[in-house]
Amino acid sequence: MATPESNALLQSVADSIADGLPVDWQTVEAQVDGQPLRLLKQLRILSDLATLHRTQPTASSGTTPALTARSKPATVIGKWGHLELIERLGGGASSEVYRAWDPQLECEVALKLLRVDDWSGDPWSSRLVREGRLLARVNHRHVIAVHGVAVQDGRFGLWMQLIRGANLYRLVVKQGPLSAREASVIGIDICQALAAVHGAGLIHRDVKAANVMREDGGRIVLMDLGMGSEREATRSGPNDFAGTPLYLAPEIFQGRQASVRTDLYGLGVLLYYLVTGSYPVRAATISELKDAHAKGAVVRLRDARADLPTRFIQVVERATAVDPELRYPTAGAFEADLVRALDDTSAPTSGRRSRVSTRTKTLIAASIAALLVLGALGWRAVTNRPDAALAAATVRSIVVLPLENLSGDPSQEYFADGLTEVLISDLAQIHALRVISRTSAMVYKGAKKPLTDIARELKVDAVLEGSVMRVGDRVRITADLVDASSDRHLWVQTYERDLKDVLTLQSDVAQAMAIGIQVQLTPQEKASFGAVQAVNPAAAEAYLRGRYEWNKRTNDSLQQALVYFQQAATIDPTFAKAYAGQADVYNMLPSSLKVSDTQSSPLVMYPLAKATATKALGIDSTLAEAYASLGYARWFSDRDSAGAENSFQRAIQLNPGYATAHQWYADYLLAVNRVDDSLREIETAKTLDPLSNPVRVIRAAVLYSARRYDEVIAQANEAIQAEPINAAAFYYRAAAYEQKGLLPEAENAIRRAMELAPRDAFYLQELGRVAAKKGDKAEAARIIRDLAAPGRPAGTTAGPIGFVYAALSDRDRAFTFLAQAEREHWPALLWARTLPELDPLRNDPRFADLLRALNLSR
Amino acid sequence: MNEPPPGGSVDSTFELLRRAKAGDSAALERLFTRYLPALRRWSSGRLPRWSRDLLDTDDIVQETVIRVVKRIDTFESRREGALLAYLRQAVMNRIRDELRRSHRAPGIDELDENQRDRGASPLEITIGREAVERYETALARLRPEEREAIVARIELDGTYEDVAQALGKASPDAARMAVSRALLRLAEEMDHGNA
Repeated sequence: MATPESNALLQSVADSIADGLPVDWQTVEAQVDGQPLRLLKQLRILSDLATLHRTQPTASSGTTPALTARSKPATVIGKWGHLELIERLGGGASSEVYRAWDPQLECEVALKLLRVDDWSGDPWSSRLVREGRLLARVNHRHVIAVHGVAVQDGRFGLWMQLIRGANLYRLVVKQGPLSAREASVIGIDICQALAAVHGAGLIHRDVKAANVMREDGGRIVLMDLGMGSEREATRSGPNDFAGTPLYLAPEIFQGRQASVRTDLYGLGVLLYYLVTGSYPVRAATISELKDAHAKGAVVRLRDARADLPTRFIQVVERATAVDPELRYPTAGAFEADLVRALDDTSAPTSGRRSRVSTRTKTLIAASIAALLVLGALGWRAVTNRPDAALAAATVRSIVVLPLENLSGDPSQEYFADGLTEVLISDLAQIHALRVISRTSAMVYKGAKKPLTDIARELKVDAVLEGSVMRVGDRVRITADLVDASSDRHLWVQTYERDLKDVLTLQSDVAQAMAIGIQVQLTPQEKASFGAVQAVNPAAAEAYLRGRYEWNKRTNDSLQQALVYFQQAATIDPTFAKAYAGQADVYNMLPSSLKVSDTQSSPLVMYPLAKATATKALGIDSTLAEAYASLGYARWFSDRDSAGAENSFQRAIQLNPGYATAHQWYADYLLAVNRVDDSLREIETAKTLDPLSNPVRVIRAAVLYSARRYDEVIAQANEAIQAEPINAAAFYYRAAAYEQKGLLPEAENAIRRAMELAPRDAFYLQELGRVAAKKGDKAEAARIIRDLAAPGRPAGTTAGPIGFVYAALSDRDRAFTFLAQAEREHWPALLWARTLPELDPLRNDPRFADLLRALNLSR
Repeated sequence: MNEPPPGGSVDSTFELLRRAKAGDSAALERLFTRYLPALRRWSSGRLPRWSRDLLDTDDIVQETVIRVVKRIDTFESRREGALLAYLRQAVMNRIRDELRRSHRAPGIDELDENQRDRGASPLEITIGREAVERYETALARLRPEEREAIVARIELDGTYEDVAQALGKASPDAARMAVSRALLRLAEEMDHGNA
């Protein structure tokens, strides 16, 4: 409906078009509807038309060639200066190319001759001169070499090396798409050529398949710097199609300068073309092309040819990223990744990168064919291929492999790992899906195992792999879900966002994937995904760094993690996860068997854990991690059995896939002597995190309290096999042997633990117990003296001494020291109801007193 | 039209036409100087790239102008803009004839590697063949003065001074208003064509 406002808007737009000024179409189109909107659309066409006419090459001004002086196109074989023309090779609007004999150089050359003979002030002639001069500045085996440029017989000419071969465009037309390996080899050569061009201070501006020759001997030669320019002053207008539209980087259409990165974008498109015979952005007109760029309607290479090696796909996708900042900064960086991709393509029959069945290849071929027919709309058809429907019935368990860090900077590893963890955590919220936990997923970091093997080892239906690239405050994530049994790609998506939205992004990925594989989300899960808030980018970054350190689980890394989580909370005080992270650290510091630090005293740490977990839940009451931390702290700090149980159950309800919650709950259940329940929870944790050593060790602990010593030994051995420096696993092996009376084996095992953690009081007491059981009271007494010696952190020795006295059957001293340990909140004592070490004391009335003091008397 | 017409006055243009028709080659050269650059530039937006190997843009434009000059007996309008629009249409018709004659105007499906060498003109590539046709139809339905404003400013990229002179307007501002109004009218006509 036309209104005075819409009329004024239309008038203003018409004025802008008349004046040749740009119009912000998105904004103005959003302001009207109905007929005014339709008129705006027509005006947009008129604007494009005006711009096109305005930006056509300027014809010679003022001087019009006289009617009689015009030359006919030179189609006859003849001479030009000293060159003898042998054969016409081709020609375009402005020039013709001949094969010619150069008697001075005594070789055949290619001669580019201008059509017009009056070249003074003619743009085509100046372009030819420029091309000659630019080429002369570049000396490289993969760049065409120029011999000279001159005016002869009134005609302008440029003569250069004659390349016998075919250009890559014709090569693909004739032979069909190339393999990733062939394309990589060619791409490496072009990167070197472009490095030389850029090194000479030039931009090529028309990198495309038709401008690259493959010489008969195989040499790759970059041609045609006719569009090239100095790196300075290369601004192009919105319709200045210097270059071939399909190869133009999106920012060129916005009038931005041609640059090294736009050349490298062109090379990315070229590689895409080589392996598909098509282009990432497809359109019938420039307007459509611009629209396609604006909408990000890109046919991803992995959709066009999913059979290609992932690394090659990633290289091409990075080169053709919409955001120039996400692309390769230099031809050298591009080349380095292509070399790596080449390594990846060199072993086509092994490794997880080549796992496509013949049937899939057929499907892909069909998809490519469909794309060729469907054109710009085709990509939608491909991303909705039937595999996704098949997934509905099959995918109920997945593993998220560590997202690959594509930044090329190892110091960014934390970022990829951190996002992997966030993604796992988000997916784990979905009740209908079993998601392998982070620890087990991380085992496959950098491993080149076939996905089917990984799926079999983890007993999952599908594998999600992907990559992360971050440049400044922009993040790009690609995720690819593969069906384990058939190797089919079920779901592929690429996302690009600001860093502040990175956590929302993971939530979006998780939700989109769930929808993609038709997993039913509960209303609560949907609400939870929707509730993820954007955070300050610096806070998100600090948080991810914190998670990275936290996962290392060493004393130093836990301290470092704490610093990062605190930083995150300082930057963004409403960032709940930052407080939950702190709570996790406070809980871990005192209970880590490897830690002996007064700063980490349980009396200090658990209350802090409780406070920070509570703070996190005050901001976001749906955080499973915070509930799990709260449960842990309630138990260890307050010995609040009911409170702890509630928190653990709430955590598991919110995020049934959070293995740590099951693991801690199992620990708690063991302490309250619900051994069967504890076993059930630890089995759940193991299913979710089958390769996690913390889970293995806790499972050994549960089995130990269940007096299933042979299973303890088997479980400890499994942990040791996975991590030969796991002192805690050696401890449980020792303790189980001790209970079985196999004392030499026990001594061997505990000495191994002590080699790994020489100052640990808990391992030393086990050595004392073994000595006591062997009847070596002097050695046991020496160990007790060692434990009691000054220099050990407060609160860490009374309990161990009590345990040795228990083994010596010295009940009085045992109870004295255990009472002290209870006052010091020595963590291990909380398992007093089930620990086999305390069996000799159980029938003593003082044991009931101890349990009462521990709030374990029920 | 970037260059202000030498001599400048409308009368001189029609005087040049008359003299050229009478065989004055100097007058013809001056007409060429005045109109050929803009018409050539315009036609380069309308000719498919592939055709430029067969059809020389300059030849087409120049020969068309010569034909127009020779055939014009009386030119009713005294507006230079009318002459420009007439010349533009004559060149357009000539391009169409040549393309038909060449029997090779491949349809555009998708842009491809050699899009600049295939059947679509730069304008068709930019706005699409269907929009070009709709535009031409709508342009033909405009009133002569509106059409001339569009041709002089939007197609031939004349300055507002040029346009004022071509349309017989008092000032560049008046020319600007005329162009702007003509654009809105053209958009309406195109929208009707779209319905």
